[in-house]
Amino acid sequence: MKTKNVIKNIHNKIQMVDNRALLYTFLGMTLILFRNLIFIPLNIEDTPSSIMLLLPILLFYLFQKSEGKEEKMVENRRFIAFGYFFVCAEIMLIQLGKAVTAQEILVFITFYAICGISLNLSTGLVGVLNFGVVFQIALGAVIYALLAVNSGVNTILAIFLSMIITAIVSAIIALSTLRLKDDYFAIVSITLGEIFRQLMKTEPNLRGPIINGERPSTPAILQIPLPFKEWHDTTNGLLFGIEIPYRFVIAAIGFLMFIIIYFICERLTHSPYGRILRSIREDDLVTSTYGKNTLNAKVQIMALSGAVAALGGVLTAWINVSVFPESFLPLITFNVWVVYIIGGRGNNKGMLLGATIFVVLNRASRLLDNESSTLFNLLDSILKLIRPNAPDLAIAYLQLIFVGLILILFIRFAPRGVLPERAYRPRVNGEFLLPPGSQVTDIISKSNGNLLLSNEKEIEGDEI
Amino acid sequence: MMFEKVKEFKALTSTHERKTWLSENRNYIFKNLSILLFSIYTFVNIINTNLRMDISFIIFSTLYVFSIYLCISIGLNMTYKLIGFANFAHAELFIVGAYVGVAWSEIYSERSPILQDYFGALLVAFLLAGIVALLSDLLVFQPIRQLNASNEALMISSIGVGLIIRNIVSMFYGGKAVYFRLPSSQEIPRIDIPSVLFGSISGVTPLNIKGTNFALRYEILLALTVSLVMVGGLFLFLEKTKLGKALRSTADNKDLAEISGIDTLRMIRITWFIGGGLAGVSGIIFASTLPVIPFSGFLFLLPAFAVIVLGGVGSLKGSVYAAMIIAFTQVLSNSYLTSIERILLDTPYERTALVSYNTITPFIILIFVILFKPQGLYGDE
Repeated sequence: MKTKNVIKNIHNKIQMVDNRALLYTFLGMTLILFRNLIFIPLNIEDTPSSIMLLLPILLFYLFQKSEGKEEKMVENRRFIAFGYFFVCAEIMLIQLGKAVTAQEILVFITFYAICGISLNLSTGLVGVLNFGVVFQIALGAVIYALLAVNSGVNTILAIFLSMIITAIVSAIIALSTLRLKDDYFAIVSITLGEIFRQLMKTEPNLRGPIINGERPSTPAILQIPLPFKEWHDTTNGLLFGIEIPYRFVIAAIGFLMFIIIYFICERLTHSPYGRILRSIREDDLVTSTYGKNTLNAKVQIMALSGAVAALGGVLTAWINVSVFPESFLPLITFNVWVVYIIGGRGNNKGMLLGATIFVVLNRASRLLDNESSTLFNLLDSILKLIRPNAPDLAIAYLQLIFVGLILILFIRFAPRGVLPERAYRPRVNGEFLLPPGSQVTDIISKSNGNLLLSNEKEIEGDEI
Repeated sequence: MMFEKVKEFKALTSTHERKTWLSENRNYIFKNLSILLFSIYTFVNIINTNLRMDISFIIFSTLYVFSIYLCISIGLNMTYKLIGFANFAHAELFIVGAYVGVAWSEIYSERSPILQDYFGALLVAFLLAGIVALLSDLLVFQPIRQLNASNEALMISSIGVGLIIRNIVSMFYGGKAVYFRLPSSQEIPRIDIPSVLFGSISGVTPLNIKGTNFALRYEILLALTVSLVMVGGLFLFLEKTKLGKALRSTADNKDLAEISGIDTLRMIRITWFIGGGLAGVSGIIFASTLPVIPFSGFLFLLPAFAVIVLGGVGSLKGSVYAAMIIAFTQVLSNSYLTSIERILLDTPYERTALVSYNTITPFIILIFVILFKPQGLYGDE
């Protein structure tokens, strides 16, 4: 009886996928996965990382209850549809392009997902225009590296300290500049990132430890202690009979961090406090007339986003095994913004999807970096036609043009992203105040802010 | 103004009156005193022979940096005021201008460069950068504006536009430093510019007058003339012509201007063209003296924001003063830090590290202005 229900449930859900093509893609991917698992000895390098990230969520989705959660179902459906489209893309990438490996993609997906959550907290939740993501990341990375390398602090303690210090610095900056116009905060935050990068270049105290009474001449902190490195070295990464490359360990830790942060942020977003935060984002003035201290709330959330970004910084330190100024260019901020815009502002789950899409698409342009590729040759010959002594076409520039194009196209045609923020309908005595499909702004305007700002339990409302 | 205040104070008789006057004018006195002290301190430092700061270096470098900041920030200020968002792609128009100069010197690489080349490149840079700015508005910003999107959306899309322009330029020229060659002039005395911004140009002998190296590189004179003529022309255009009046009224109040029968869309396009063109001109000025890389545009973006915030958003007059202040502070800090490190810390000239902090000075000014006087010098006008 119970299994029958489960099968019926799955059947219903599969029927809900309107787009048949996506359904077939999904089925095909599952088949490929099973083929890889059963018939061919599992080689973790060839398994698409998106499957590893998205499969648990897919299973969770298939076995959850569906009654009364239609809008959540729609969101999950989109998540899985898009996710599997990119699994498909990634399999193509791994089979076609030699430059792309699963471990590289996985590591960067977790990094960008964590940074995306940080940006989503400050910009998506309270509406602070945060262009200083790279400042927070760099601060976290440098403090972690200084503590772990120069002072020899225990790794976990160093991570916590760097989170705390970055949170405090972010809060102080927010406290002093958030009174101003939005644009000004954006300019100040982008400036802080540049100042910090310059400091890293010149300040001897932000370099590696003193050896023979002299600071190293290169502006970098090298030999960052890596987690589980000893275990990996001694056992050669052998776990359950599968050889795991070291970057997968970093990715696994990053993914664990992401999941913890994700659940904390989800709790936060759907609590009464989260309601206040979103109403601040929609209208600062209205919220403050209801007696809420908007500046305090913004400062608190900026501190939290700083702590999350510091985790991203620790992850970069591990990925590069060093901390150096050139890895904190303003471009990182823009990449995180792309992740945030693609994923869907205000949607935490969207950040993982946005990071997946961004990293896979970004790596996909490497496929062009191939002498036999016709598109590459065409572009190269156009270049040579316009400027005969132009350098050979570098793929890095194409990638960045691609990033710019994605940014513009999404803002123009899909400003709410792939996974738009779910509408939040307040419920009083079990009855919804608004029809399904209402926008977030409708709720703010129609309920006069009254319901959203109340701390009382009975009008807390479920998400649907 | 100052003498009036002194007279006012002298006219007061009782101590009580004087006390109340002082407390009323506390802000004014504090401001003026701090400016006075700062200038005395600067002056003493420059005169101080121990530090051996080069006066001619400070003056001429300030003029040079000023002419770049002036052109780039006036255009940015106009678009900021009229359209209402911080355009991060403005720095890339600067790069378009600089690379027009590079391309020009490549096309005419057979013959030795003459002065007409400079003005030819200037004209092409103005037109091309203006057209690129216009295209970015037509293709990207205008459709997004029509969606009633927030400033946030416009700012992010401007970042995207900037990335696209910069990397298209990089595709053609790579990441290496390239030059815009100017005609060499043996008869005109020149000064050395050691690392005003990024690098140094060696092999130049300065003219020595009474123990001080007073000499002017004619590139600097050219740069200053060009930027002053450009901005002066813009001011005349805005003040005297009917079109300029229409532009100003659109900037003041768009709805009112539209009611009065002004085609505001056309005004916005003219602003984009002029602003972009001025950025292109500043690129030519930069490229004629220092090596260019595609990233150098971004290095000028934040100082340009510092200039317009210090001068006040929407005030072109403020931008002129602010460009001067920021250029002077940056050059002075450059000179001062070099001297301090060389003399007080006893470091050899090649190994001075403190100097690289001079790129931060505009940012620090920017942050302090935003914190304590967000409306800027002339922001209320």
